[in-house]
Amino acid sequence: MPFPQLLEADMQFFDKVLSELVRKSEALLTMVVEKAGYLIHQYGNAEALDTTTLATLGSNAYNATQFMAQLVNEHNFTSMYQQGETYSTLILNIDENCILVVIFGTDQTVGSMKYYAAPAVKRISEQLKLASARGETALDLCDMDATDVQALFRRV
Amino acid sequence: MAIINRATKELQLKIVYYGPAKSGKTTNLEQVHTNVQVPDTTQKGKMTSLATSSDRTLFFDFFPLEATTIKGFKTKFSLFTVPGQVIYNATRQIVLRGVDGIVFVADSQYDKMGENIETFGHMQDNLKSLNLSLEDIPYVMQYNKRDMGEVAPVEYLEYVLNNREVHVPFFEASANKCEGVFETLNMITKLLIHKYLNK
Repeated sequence: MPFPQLLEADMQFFDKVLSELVRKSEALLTMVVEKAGYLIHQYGNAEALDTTTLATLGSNAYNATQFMAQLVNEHNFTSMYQQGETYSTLILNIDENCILVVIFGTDQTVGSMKYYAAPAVKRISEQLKLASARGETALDLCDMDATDVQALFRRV
Repeated sequence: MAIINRATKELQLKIVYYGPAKSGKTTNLEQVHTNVQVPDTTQKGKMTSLATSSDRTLFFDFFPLEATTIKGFKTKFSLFTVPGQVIYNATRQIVLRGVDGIVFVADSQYDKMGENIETFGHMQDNLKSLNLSLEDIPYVMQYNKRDMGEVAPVEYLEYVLNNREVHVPFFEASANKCEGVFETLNMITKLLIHKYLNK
């Protein structure tokens, strides 16, 4: 199933869910990431963090670990956890296309993160289902001038 | 799989540079990263390389690149490379996930022809395992290392690598000198944008 097109209402919903998650769990940063590596939405303290790269690395790490799990016939793969000395990372599956990345201080426990993240995952998943059910609307670039894209990128 | 975000008015597309080991995939990305014109250099995305200690790509290289806004939509391209070595085939499959466009970087040297053909075949197999096909994904060929000795003529490369029902655009390149790098990038981005233009 393709990733649904997102509207303002979807983004506001994600913002609400992630802000609640950060407030309750005291996580540093939360991100909804598409599994090809795109950052969909983030909430929390991203100061001095390159969230675009974090999202890409998180999704690829998750995909790689899932692949590894499948090789040992472990098909029920829904989360992964990296334990750090200052910050740890928990990645949870949302649906076929998306993951939730939670970065939190090591003064918090992974158990509490999982506890607070579980309902957030469910709510985001339901919103994505709603977005999918709306159906695809063609992207309106039809009045775009084809010459605009002759050379999008130029060398210095 | 393109991401269309109408809330933020963004279109995000993933381009993967695929090819045999040492064909110049990472060099292509490095050249784009170093030489691309951006309105504000502080906003230029960082290039991330997951490489081995001997500087060979272990997982992927990644560079986010933002194009000018087109009809109100900010177009963001994520450029990836795959590791060239055959032992990392599983990793290549992971990087291909959600790909929107492909640049196949072939090594023009005669003695690399077998590797080019084999890698192209692996790419088709990997796409198939992701329920994708080259019939649906825009791709271009880049015949790199034209500055090396013992290179095959372009006609030969075309016959060997670009001889399918749909003949795709090809570019000669010497990525280490940044020759052909931007031409290739602009063609694949153009094909991708046109895919949406024509929807």
